[in-house]
Amino acid sequence: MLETINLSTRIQNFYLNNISISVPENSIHVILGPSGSGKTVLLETIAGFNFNVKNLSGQIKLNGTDITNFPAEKRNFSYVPQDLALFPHLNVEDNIFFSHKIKNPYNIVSDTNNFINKEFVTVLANNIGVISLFKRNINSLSGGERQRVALVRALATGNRHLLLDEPFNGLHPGMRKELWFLLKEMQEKYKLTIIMITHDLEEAFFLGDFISVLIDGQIEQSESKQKARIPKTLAVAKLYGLKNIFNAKIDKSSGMSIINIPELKICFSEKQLQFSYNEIGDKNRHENKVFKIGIRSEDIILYDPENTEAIKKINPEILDMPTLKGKITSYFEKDHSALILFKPDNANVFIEAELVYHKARKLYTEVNKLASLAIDTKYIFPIFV
Amino acid sequence: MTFGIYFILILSLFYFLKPSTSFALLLSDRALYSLALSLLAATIATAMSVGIGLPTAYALSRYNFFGKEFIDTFLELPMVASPAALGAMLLIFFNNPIGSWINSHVNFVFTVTGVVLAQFITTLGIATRLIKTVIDEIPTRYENVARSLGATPLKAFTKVTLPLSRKGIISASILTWAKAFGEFGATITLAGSMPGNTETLPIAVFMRLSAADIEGTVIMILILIGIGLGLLYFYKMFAKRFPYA
Repeated sequence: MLETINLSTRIQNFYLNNISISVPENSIHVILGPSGSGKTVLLETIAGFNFNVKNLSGQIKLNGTDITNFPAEKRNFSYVPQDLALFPHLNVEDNIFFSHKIKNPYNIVSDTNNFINKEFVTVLANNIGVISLFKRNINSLSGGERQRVALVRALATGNRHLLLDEPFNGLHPGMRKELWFLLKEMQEKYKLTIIMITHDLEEAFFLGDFISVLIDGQIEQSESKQKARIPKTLAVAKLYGLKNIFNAKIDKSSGMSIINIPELKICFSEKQLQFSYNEIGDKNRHENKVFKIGIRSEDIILYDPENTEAIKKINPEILDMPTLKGKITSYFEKDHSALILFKPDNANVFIEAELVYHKARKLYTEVNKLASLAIDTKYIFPIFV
Repeated sequence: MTFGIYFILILSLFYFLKPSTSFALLLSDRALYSLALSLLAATIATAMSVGIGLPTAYALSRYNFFGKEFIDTFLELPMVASPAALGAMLLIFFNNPIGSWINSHVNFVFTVTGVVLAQFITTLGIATRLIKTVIDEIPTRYENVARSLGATPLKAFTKVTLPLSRKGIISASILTWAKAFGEFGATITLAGSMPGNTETLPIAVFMRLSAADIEGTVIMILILIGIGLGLLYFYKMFAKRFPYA
């Protein structure tokens, strides 16, 4: 278990404010955040490059041992920076064996441990597919080859902890995906514990077992991938690109708890929600407290109002859902889904829906087409401001 | 244009050369001694400047400490103070109690050691400044990665930063050497201008000119610029061929 406890620091214009994250052994923890949020500073602090900074407070612990004051070379974390920092004066092989030459400069083969390690690196290099590059110059490598070499160099140390700073930046999508699979495979095979930075949502959710969202030097939320899908704060919702955020309030005048969404002019009972009112953080249950709720665009149900019977047959739950009548105002096709903007007739807001595009095409024929929208209350979540 | 101006200046030197006497002058003991002294003193002074300048430059480039800007400004001292003033400061230093005590053990005033010292003092700031620029150019990330791969700070420096900056340090050394080789003001002030003892090439130029020996002056100038420019040209060719040598 690698953990930071109330880690705070300031380096130039970057702040870290009470960062507490924990990374169980043999898992990938992704730090997700916009640029300038302090992600790299956090990773460098964990790696041990900023440990003699005066204004560092808090602790970094590895399996219970406080390593906050350990120098970088004693932490046994392999760090891969954003630009990879492959040494340009060494060829691929010398880059990969850098850690070996540092620890065993005269290459004494009688050291059995070292011999095994050399074998280990060769197998590793073969698995990651860089063996044929050994005699190549760093400057002659392609982007994907560099990533692989950097990964092998990091693993050749024998370290089981990896710190990766946006390692797949600047690669084309196909290569990225290939390397995602490779990283996952290596992680499972060598039981690696990885902290990885990214600003890419897809990458974060593909690779991460745990996801922490870092915004302006603060951890906004830190939890398992399943839970991380749901943004807890407005800042995270914005980072995720969530469009459907509305004010809500609880109305108990009728004796029951009714959730009212004034912007959409809809209401439903508290029982329909997957979260309790307590989660909104109002223990005194103040009447008419305003809070925000969100729903992901892929959880929105859009259907043809002239075909209501058919949709009710397929999805009978729709009868219990709040529904809205309105128009489709915009339609955007993306690479593997379509985004639709829907405007309810009696409200002045837009709701965004994301559909697989063969369904979307069936529904959308022209701008201002009439449509109906249902909100599955199961997928509504509260957002803290 | 620039080349033209300098070339005409050099060409005009040959107007005063007579082949018959020129070679004799060139090979005279006095001229050869000046040449040998200049080469040796500049080499020792450069080695010292670069040797002390390298760790200083590294510290200034990599660490933040109290008074850093102040020290950094002091690197410019040899530029701000004229060479003669620098030489005078040295002379004055060797006349105070601490200075005279040092001078009674190792004699600097009007000696060959003085030549080396004067050249070292004038080039130290420049060497440090040049090397700092070289190290500034090398991202700290290389050292950081080396550290995470198990290298101590010293190993990270010798295995990564130093090889990466080798070319820059060589070029800084050559410029430092050229500066030391052509040093005049501080040298003549501290070490004097005794032929066959402390007379370096630039001093010989001045001495021969003041003795109205035009041909001798021209010969000295030609040796001076021949060696200086030749070295720089050789280095440029070398640097082109081996980018990380």
